[in-house]
Amino acid sequence: MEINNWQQIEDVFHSAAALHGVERADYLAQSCGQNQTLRAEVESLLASLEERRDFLEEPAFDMGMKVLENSLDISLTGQEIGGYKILEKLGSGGMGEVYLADDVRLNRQVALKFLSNSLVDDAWAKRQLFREAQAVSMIDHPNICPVYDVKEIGVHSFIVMQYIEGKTLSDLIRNHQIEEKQYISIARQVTAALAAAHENGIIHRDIKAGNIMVTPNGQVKVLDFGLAKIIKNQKAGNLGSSPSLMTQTNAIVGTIASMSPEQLRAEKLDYRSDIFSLGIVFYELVTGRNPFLQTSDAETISAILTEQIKPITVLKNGNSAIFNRVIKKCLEKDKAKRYQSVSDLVLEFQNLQDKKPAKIGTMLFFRSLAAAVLLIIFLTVGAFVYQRAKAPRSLAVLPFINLSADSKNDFMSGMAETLIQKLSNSSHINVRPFTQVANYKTTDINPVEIGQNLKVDAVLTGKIIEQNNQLILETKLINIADGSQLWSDNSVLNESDTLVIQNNISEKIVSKLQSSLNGNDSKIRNSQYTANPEAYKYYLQGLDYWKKRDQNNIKKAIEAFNLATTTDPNYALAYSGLAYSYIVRPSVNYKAMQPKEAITLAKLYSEKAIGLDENLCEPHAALGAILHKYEWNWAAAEKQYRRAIELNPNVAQTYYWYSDLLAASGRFDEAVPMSLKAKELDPFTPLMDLNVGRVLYYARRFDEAEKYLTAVLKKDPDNTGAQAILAFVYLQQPSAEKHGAALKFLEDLYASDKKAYAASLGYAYGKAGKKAEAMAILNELERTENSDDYLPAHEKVLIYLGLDEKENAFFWLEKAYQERFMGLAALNVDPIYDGLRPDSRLQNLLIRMNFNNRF
Amino acid sequence: MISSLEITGLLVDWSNGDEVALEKLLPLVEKELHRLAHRQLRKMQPGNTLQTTALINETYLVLIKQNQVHWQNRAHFFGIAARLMRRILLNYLRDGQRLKRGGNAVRVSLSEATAISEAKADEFIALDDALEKLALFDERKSRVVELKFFGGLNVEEIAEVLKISNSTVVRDWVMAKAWLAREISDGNQ
Repeated sequence: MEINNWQQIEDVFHSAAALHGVERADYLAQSCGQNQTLRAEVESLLASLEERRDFLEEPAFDMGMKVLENSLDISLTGQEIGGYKILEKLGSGGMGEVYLADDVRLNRQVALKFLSNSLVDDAWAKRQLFREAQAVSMIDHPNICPVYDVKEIGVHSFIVMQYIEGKTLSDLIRNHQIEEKQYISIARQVTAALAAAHENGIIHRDIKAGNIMVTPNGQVKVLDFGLAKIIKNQKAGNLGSSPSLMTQTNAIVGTIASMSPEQLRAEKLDYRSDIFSLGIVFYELVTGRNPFLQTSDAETISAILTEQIKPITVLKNGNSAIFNRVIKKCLEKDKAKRYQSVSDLVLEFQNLQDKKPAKIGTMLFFRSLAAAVLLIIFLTVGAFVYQRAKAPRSLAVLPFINLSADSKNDFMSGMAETLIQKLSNSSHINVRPFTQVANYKTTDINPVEIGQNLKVDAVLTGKIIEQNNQLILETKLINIADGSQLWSDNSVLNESDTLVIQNNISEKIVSKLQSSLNGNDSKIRNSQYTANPEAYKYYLQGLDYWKKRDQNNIKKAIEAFNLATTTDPNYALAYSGLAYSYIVRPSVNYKAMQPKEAITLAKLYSEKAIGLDENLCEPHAALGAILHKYEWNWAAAEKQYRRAIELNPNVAQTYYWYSDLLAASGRFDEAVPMSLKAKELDPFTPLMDLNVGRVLYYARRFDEAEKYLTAVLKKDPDNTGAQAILAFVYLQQPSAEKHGAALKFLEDLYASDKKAYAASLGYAYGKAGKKAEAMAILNELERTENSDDYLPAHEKVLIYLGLDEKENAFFWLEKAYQERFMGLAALNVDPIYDGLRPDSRLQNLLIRMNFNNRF
Repeated sequence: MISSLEITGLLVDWSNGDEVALEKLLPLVEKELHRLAHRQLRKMQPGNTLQTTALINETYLVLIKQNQVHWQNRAHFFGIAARLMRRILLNYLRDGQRLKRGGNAVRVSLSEATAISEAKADEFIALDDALEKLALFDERKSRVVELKFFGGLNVEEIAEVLKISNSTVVRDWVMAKAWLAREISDGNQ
């Protein structure tokens, strides 16, 4: 193939993609040098990427499923079945295929609706087919396609109905074959058909332009009652007075863009759901398009649930007003505000004139199959958009255990695995991966014990048992804290049912867990959240890594936040997560990223997040941190922190950074309480304790610092940050005993992480008068420096400060300044620099760091 | 009827590069997916949906019908499902184009059956060609696109199938997208 420097192109492409504007141009100029071909190649790739942001983002899998449905029919053409000679296929839909046939006896053409091949021996589908026949035969109305018979011959079940020569309303609309003067006529006929159905106690549930035929002489025939629900035999009458009698629990079937809000929510449906769908048909009729249809199902659903339609203004013949009124009232989100019965709607059209009919066409008979892919989307949109997700709660789903006699049921225990997948995809509950629970395939261990081992809030167990020749899946959700049972469920299993049961169970678990463990926490602003559960999951992972913030975790955090923004490019919080991560990245891994690069990226992502949501707290805090720690622009930084707190006063990280700024500025009276506030808001992140200790240390309140940090370490002996700060507190005090304790801490820390603690230990050795040891560490560091590892200049500053070698300390301090080392922000208060303070060079440096503006 | 053992064998053969094994597997998977899709639709309850991963997973479980799920094979199975979807969709769209060119009326219009516009159909076909081309010099990227776009898998699942890291998947995806987008728009000019 043509490309021989593909790898090079790719590398440059990715680096450039992370940059923008001038920075990108600079980078390209530098990395491509004279190689103009390379540069042109990368630039054109970047341009195509940016031009087509949404390219390939919506998977084609569902589309493939639909095609599969349509392509797999086994043609019946040419056969004669039960006195009907089948001529040609007219169309196919979710459950059936429609053929044109000759009724040999009566010598007339009819349409036969067969069950799809795959449903031939399916009892439910067959019942539904018969139900359709029954429903339609109850209604005798000129605008409803009549059913002549329903037959079961051999393996074939089918409905015999009138063959209508015509086109579907949706085809006519799409091909602009309807004239404005026909609108009223069509609307009136559809309404009349629906009124007849409702009077017979039948809800259609799938009213849409594709199910409405228009004959060449303009007659409307509503068809496809395949999803109809027969409520009862009594007349529809006064709906408002006894809604409970008139409703029926509904399953989600049908076509998303034609559904009512209550249908999408899978609520009980009554006639008013058909009225909403009718409103959509009217809208399509007069404007040529569906008012809610969007490019993705999720957006369509959201539009139906929340968007108000715009009035139509296109009609010339004076009917705009009536259509506007009718459509608006049909499409009320709240069914109580719609027409309460179709007969009200019939009245609207009664006095208007009939116009000339439509023309021509062949019958197409359709139901698009998989209206399916909607509920998870809807539910998760609901859960995330309308409810603020709190800290993730954790759950372990243990492998289901087969206690039935038949070992062939063993395979059902694999459901646990699918359930885990599903739960991790669709909820904000932290679900342990299958690999962690796979070994607990036994009844021997108490689930509470397992839950404690796995450190989860709850455990879900499942047993497959046999009772009265039925297989039953018994599931229990157990609260680990007190061993109580939060929820249990018994579902009858049959082998072909597993997917459905998984779906039910996972929905129940999600809702139960949320209410039992989370409590209600409902205040939110929408834009910071994502409707995409996958993106949300990555964000939570990133946050978790970020809180741990060491070299490895920051790398993982960046990866996770990147995945979140790739999955949902408008996810403001995830961008701010990236900004946070880049801010601290140099301090945990200097080699991977030096401050200047980090600032560029952190700024870029903060601004991106603010661009998406000006009112999001986090990116303002991030900007504050950049201005404070890297640019020493104290006033501007403080402004950003204040803005962040104003936007959301409950984010610990803001106070963490702000308290650090206040301390660095010598405003300890404000700094200490603020550091405590951060700790109060986020009591479980060890860094918050470190911060309190550090602020006290900067304030030289060594006794308090010692007391505080000792208490922290008593509770959490592994808090390495607290150990390090305590060591520095000890080192500032003239006590051999304390110096010894400091050395002990730092030697241990050094043993566990050489790179991170070398300089601190070197400083401590110097302070404690152990010159040789200090020099050894320095030599060690310099060796590392000579290898490919990058050494922050400040590491040497620290050691020379310990050794009290001022000249060397100043030399490297200047370099640290040039590097914009993050720790320098504390230059004016950190006791380690005390030895340098009388020297004018330090004053000079402080001035360059804008401290003169404050003091 | 083919046994689960044979299916496992076919999966292994395919993973070893035996394309004939894939040809044998595809109809089995297709039939099962088809059956499940139907059943799923009519069993729709509040809270249920066709979810790609769960659906493929269950197809696999049903086909394999065994307790111990071999992760390795399952990953290949996801690969097959993606390949299958790509083939189904493209055959369908190419047929549609042929019929159009041949002057035959397409009775089942594309948009009705698949909610796909004709412009989109053309783009899909161009995409398929471009993917073939990409595979010639970067097989892995073309697989990432196949799994994500046609298979509906998420980043982590793709990482598992291809045994690469999440970040590599994302990098491959972004790069492949850029290249494919350009390739397709070049083709249109």
